[in-house]
Amino acid sequence: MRGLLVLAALLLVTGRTAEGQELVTDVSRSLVELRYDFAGTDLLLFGAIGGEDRPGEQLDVVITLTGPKQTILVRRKARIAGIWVNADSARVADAPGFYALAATRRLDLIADERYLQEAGLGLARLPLRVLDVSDAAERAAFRAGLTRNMAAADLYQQREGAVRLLERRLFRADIRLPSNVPAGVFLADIRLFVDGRMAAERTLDIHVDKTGFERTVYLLATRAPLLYGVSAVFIALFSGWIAGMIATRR
Amino acid sequence: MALYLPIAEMSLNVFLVIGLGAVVGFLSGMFGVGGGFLMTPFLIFIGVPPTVAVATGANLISASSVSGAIAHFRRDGIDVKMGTVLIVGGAVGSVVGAWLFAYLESIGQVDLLISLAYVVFLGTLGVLMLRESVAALLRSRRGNPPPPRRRQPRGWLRALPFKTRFRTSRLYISVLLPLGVGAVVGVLAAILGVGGGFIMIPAMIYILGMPTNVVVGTSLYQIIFVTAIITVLHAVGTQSVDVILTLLLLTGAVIGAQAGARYGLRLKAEQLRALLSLIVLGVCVRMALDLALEPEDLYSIAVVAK
Repeated sequence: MRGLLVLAALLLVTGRTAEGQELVTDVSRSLVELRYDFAGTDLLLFGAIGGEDRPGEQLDVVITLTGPKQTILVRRKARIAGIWVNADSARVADAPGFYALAATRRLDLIADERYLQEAGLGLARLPLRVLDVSDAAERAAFRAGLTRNMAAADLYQQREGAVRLLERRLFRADIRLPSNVPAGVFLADIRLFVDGRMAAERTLDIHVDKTGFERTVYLLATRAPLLYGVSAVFIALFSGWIAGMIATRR
Repeated sequence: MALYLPIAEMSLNVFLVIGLGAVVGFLSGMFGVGGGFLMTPFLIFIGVPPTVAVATGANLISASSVSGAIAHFRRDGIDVKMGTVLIVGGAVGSVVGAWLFAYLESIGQVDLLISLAYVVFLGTLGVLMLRESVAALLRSRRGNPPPPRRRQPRGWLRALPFKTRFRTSRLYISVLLPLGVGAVVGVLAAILGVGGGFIMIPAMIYILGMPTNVVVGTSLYQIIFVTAIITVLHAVGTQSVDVILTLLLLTGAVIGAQAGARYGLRLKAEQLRALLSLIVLGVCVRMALDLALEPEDLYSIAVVAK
C-alpha cells in the first residue's frame, strides 16, 4: 500500500518543474456514493512536497475537509415543570455539514494565532455566524453547543498529529467520513507550512452523492412527497398482503 | 451489516432492525395487539428520530394489518358500514393530528409532544390493564365468574341525533358516536404512530356497544385506511416516512408474529394481559425518565437550510 502510494506520488511529482516549495496532492476517491450499504468510509488524502529540500526547515502540513454549508438550528433545553424542554434556540449560519482537520502536529505549534484565526483553521476558529442572539457569552455557548453536537456525531473532527510526513517529501492522512455525512460538494484544502509560514496551498473537490435506489427514494420523498406517501402506502399494503400469505401457507 | 436509511439519514444494523421487528411482532402475535405503541418507542430508543419513528410506524401498521383484515373479511367479521364511518371520523382526526405534529415540528417541540403523549397513554393503559388483569387473576383463583359486560350506549350518548342502523353490529345508534370515536383515535394515531386498536377496541365494546365477533375485524379494517391516510399526511407534512425501514421491520414482524402467536397459546389471557401491562409500563417509565433526567447535553441541533 505504502509502496504504491510512493510510486503514485512520484509519478505525480515528475510532471512538474519544482521551484521553491510546491505541493502535489490527490485523494483516494473524488466521488463518494451514499448507497444502501454505506456505513461510513475512509478518505485517504495524500501528496508530495516538491522543490528543494533544505534540511533545517520545519515542514508541516494541515489538511481540512469541509462539507457543504448549512444553517443549523441549535436548541437549548431548560427544566420546565420538572421536565426538560427545548426552551431557547439560535440559528447558526455558514456551518459546514462536515469538517475535519488533520495536521502534522498541534496547530498552535505550526502557525501563529493570527494566521489561524484569519484562515479559520480549527474547530474553535470556524467562521460560524450565530444569529438570533446578541449577548456574546450566549453566542459562544450556542456555538459550542453546535460544535460539541457535531463532534459527538463525528461530523466535526480535529486530529492534530494525523498527517504523517514521510522522508520530508510525502504526506498522507486518513479522514473518516461517518455514515451520517451530508451529501454535497466537499472542499479539501491542503496547506504546506515552512517554518511556520504558509508556503503552498492546494484544493480538491470531493463529491458526496446519494446514488441509486436511495437517491431515488430521497428525491421522491422531498420533491414529490404526495406521490411518495401514496407509493409508500401501496408498497406497504402489497408487501403486507404477500407476507401474510407466506406466513399462513406454512 | 449496516444499511443506510435515506429518510432517517442514518445507517442502522439490518439485523438490529429486523430483530426489533421480530421482537415487536412476537409481542403482538402473543398478545394479539397491533404493537405500534411498542414499535414507535423502541425505534426512538435505538436512535431513530422521533418524527421518522412515528411516520414509519404508521406505514408499518398499514402493512401488518392487511392480512388480518382480509381473514376477518372472509369470515364476515367486519362491519363495513361502521368501519367506514369510523374511517371518515379517523380521517378528520388524523388531519388534525398531523397538522399539530407538523406545526410542533416547525417550532422544535414535536419530540416533546411524542414523549408526553406516550407517557400519558402508555401510563394510563398500563395501569388500567394491570388493575384489570390482576383483578381477573384473583377472580379466577377464587373461581368467581367475570362480571357481565354492558352493551348499548347509555345516558346522553343515547340521546344524540342522526340515528343510523348498523345491521352487522345489530345497533341503532347516532352516527356521531362512531364519528367521534374515529376522530379521537385518528388524532392519537397520527401523533403516536399507532393503529390505535388498543383504544378503538375498548371504545367499540364499551361506548358503541358492538358485538365482540366484529370488533377485531372492523378495527383492522379502519386501521388500514386511517394509517394509510396518516402515512400520506406525514409524508407531505414532515417528509419523515422511511419506506425502507418499513419493509425491514415488516420482515421481522411477520416472522416474530408467527412465533408469538404459537407461544401465546400456552399462557392464560389474564396472564398475558398482566405481562403486556408490565411491558407497557416499562416503556412508559423509560420515556418518562428521558424527559425527567437532565440530558447529557442541553444543546441539540437540527439542520434548517442546506
